[in-house]
Amino acid sequence: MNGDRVIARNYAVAFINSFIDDISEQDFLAMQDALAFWEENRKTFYFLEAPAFDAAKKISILNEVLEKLYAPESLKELFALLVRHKRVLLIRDVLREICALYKKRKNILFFTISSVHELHDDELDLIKQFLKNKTGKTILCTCVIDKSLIAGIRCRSETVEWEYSVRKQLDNLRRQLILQGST
Amino acid sequence: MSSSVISTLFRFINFGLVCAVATYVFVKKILPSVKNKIAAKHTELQDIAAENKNLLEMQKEIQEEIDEQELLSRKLYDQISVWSSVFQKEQDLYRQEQALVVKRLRQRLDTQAEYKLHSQLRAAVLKKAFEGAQQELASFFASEKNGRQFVTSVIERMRKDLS
Repeated sequence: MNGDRVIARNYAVAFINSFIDDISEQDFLAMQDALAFWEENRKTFYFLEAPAFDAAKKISILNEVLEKLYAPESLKELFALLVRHKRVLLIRDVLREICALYKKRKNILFFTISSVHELHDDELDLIKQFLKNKTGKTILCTCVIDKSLIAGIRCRSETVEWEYSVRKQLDNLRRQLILQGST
Repeated sequence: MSSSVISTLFRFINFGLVCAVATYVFVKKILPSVKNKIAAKHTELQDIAAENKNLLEMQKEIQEEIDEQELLSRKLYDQISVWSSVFQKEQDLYRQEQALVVKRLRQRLDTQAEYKLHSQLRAAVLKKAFEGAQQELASFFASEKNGRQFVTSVIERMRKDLS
């Protein structure tokens, strides 16, 4: 398992070294989507290991999936290479490593911005600017609607979380009152 | 000499002979055995006297020992009385302390039970209050106008922070 991760990392490093300048932020977001899609449908792709399918068939299936996800062309080449090397099951790990490496090399922090209502573009730009100012990194984000916030915004990345919502204020108040009660 | 005189003379001689024989037999045969018996009795008497003396000494020693034992037992009895009274006092003290500990423990348990009840009540009230508040806030911010207003205020905060 550890060996697989090392191999996946090697593929990812080679990919990033070759294509980092060709990958736009949009491409990166598409790769993130592809990774999420792969994580969700892991078991579905086990059939790609089956020897009944020839390599060309597998590559065409993978290309179709990548096209649906608007992934960059370079990724198709990488997947084709993995199929030819009979390492289809490493695709998920390789994708994960690529995303991590890309973020590291480009100094990117990826945020999921949650709000109760859809945010306008200017609001989103300001939020990105705010987060960039706070973290000193390039901010990429995806927006989701989360009614559980009641009202407000939550920005969450792997390492940073910023939230100003009614839900959080309620939680803080509850925590304070519980603490007051226990002293 | 007349025959009566001779007869008397021979009677004397005869008597003398009988006396001599009797003396001889007494001195040679009876006296040593009597002497021996007397000596034996004498030794026996001396032994008995010595034994008597020993017994008297022994009796004296036993008496002394009895006196000592009596003294010792009296002392022991006194000590036991002292120990018993001290032990009794300690027992009383221990019982008093135990009663105090039990009393404190009961007080503590009562306080804890009271605190627990209070916390449970508080938690229940808080839960209810927060559920109500959450519902009210959710219905208030359900309208896009209010929700947007809140987001705008947050964005304004961010803008201020940036400038």
